[in-house]
Amino acid sequence: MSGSLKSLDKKVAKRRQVYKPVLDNPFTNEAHMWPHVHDQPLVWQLLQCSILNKLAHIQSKDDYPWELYTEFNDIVQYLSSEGGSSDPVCLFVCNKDPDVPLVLLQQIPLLCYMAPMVVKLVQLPKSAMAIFKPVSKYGMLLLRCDDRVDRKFVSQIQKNVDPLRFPWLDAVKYQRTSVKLLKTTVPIVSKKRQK
Amino acid sequence: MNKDQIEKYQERSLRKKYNMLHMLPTLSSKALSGLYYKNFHNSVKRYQITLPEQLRNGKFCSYCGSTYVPNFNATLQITIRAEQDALSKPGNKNMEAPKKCVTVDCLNCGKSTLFEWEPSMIDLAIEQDTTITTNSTTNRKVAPAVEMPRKGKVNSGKDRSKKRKLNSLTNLLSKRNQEKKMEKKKSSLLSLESFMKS
Repeated sequence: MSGSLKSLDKKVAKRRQVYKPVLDNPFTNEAHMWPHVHDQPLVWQLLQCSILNKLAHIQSKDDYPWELYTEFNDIVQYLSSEGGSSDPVCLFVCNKDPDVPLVLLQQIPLLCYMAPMVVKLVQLPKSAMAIFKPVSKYGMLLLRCDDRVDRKFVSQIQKNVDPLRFPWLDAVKYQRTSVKLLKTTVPIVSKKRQK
Repeated sequence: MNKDQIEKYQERSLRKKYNMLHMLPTLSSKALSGLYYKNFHNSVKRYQITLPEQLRNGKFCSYCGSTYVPNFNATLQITIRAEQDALSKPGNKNMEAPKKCVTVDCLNCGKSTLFEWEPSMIDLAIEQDTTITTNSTTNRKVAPAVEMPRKGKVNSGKDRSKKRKLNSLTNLLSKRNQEKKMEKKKSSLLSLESFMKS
């Protein structure tokens, strides 16, 4: 009898292995480095319909109707160039596919956060890489949202994707001083009187 | 301190040290980064924690210990390295494709680190594990970067040999027999109870 009870106890006390987040906290915010996408299927469908399908028919990169960057080095250069246009930018990344190394992927959110312009970072669902391959071998697509891009598309993405947040980088991030001109008057002083 | 308290203390101290590493870019003194980085790694070693791949590679500069922040203290670039070793070895399949590398330049100490182009398979493996534990319908999974497999000594040779022994055929058979016995006992117990009630 006692033997069976013991073994019963053992069965109850069997522990399941779980992964415990040790280093996550609101300060480093590591669990949510990639911003949350609210309606993933919708965003993916939108991207496919309005951008990717059109790109598939275009042969050379010079004919692209929008300002696009697909090479990683170009994307980095665009995101780190200061004094460029201040148009908002969307960066689509296949971060759930195994083709891109981790070293690269983990720096992308930081890179977007530190960029001088507003960057909407959109993570794409699993196996999106297969459709992305003909357009970009790195699974990344940077799209400048200027007038040529459909406004509805941009607004849907803005609405569905959370902004990037890194509390530990707040003090480091370059922020534009908002210089504005105030309409006012000053007395006219002639030069002779000054002397 | 009992076991729980020790675990909690370890977690707290590790988290603090990790946060301090992230505080560094804000502080203007660059010299501290090495000290903090070493401190963090020493405690990781002491608590026998295996860090996930992301924290081991490409998060901190291995020379000066500062946290890479692109556009601030680091630059990223994909470079193509003409592989000398691959050319020298006959029959190597990498010969045709020049190797892609990720170069991270640390602007703090000026050293650049080269990372090989490795597909992120580890990432997927961990993610699959987490999907079992977390709710798979929510998109907001805990990122694998933070997952700390609290393995401790799981990887030691002793455990591996134990596992090997457990998986032997005789052991499996005896386990099955035991389970059968248990079931029998359980059913007998139940019947006894029902008998008593009636």
